[in-house]
Amino acid sequence: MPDKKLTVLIVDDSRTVLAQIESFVAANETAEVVGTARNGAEAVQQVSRLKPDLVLMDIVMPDVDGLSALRLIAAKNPETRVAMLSSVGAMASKAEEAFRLGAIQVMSKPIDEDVLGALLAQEYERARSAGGSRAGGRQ
Amino acid sequence: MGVQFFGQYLIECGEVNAEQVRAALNLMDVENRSIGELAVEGRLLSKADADKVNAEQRHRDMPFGELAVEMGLLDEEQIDNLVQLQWRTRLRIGQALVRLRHLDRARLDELLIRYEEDQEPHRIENLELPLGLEGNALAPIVLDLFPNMMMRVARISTRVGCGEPIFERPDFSVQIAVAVSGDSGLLVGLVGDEEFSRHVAAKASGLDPDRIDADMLLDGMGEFLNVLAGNAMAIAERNGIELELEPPRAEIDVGSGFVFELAVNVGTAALILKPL
Repeated sequence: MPDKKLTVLIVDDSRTVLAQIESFVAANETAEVVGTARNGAEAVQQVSRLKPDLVLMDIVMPDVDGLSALRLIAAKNPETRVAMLSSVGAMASKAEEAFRLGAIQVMSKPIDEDVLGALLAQEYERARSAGGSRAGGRQ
Repeated sequence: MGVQFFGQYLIECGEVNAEQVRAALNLMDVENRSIGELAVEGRLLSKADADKVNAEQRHRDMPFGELAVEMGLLDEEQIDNLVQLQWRTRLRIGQALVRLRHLDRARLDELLIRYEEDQEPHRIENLELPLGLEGNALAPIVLDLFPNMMMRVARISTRVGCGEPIFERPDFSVQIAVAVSGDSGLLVGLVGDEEFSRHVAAKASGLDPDRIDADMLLDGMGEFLNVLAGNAMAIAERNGIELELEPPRAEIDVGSGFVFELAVNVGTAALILKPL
């Protein structure tokens, strides 16, 4: 078992998606879900409070959408690594905007578990080589 | 892989990283000309008139070309020519990555071929649509993608029947829709019985079917529609159609819509499409 797991915040307005990703991350021994949020405003608050290593965030959400939240997170917590995971993630206009705002990856739904697994592994290695997980207190 | 834009594909293949894609997008921003800039460069419009259109755009959410036509500064043929010129001369993401030396030219050619092969299952075949849906660019894409997405998300085998105008509200226990607004706006609805909806929600969430409550039934069906509509929009966008997706809603006004019977191997269900 790793010393410090990669801490993950999941942001999606769908309970279905939250359950799916939580279950996928739970099965991964190098990562753990430290929080969830149902819209962009909650996500911004949770990022400041939990300081997760990685945020997996939807784009189309009520009230504050994922791209607006990404802009706010990049301004308030620029060190946060955010990957977008959205049904509109394959739209060039949305993906390009997300990359411009600082997203480290834009994935489309349905979720490709190989791609998500590779992202978790990459971010785990990155956090570890950077001198341990920034928010790795939870084990 | 699913429907993707080329930059994502390159990242997922490990050819480039997000920083390199970001640098390529910045280069594209610098090099690619807007319709207004092309019109001024082509002497179809004075700089002062282009500024007037830009100023008007701050108050009205309309494309430059449409506004310029409305203001009597350009005609539709000129706009069509400018759009084609923009399309032909546009620096694309792969070319920008080569220019920045993040990708080799020969490697780009190979990857473009692989990308086209990867996206081949998402090419849309011509479908016959009922009168009233003809002319809606999104509807045939949704119909074509439906079986593929239903299999990927819920492992349900599906054949989509012919569309019929709706005369009365379909009698199914679970009903949900997503609205896609824009050039080819469309309400995409999915209605199903308990067995079908529970199966979709369970497969989409990974939860045991017994743990699916009434709220989750709707949520799971709604999430499927999100995925279906989002992927269809990505394909439509490649043809220059601008669309926005709204979150799912349970209240469906199906008047003047069309119902497509679904032959499914779990429960019973139907798809509803209504131009917006």
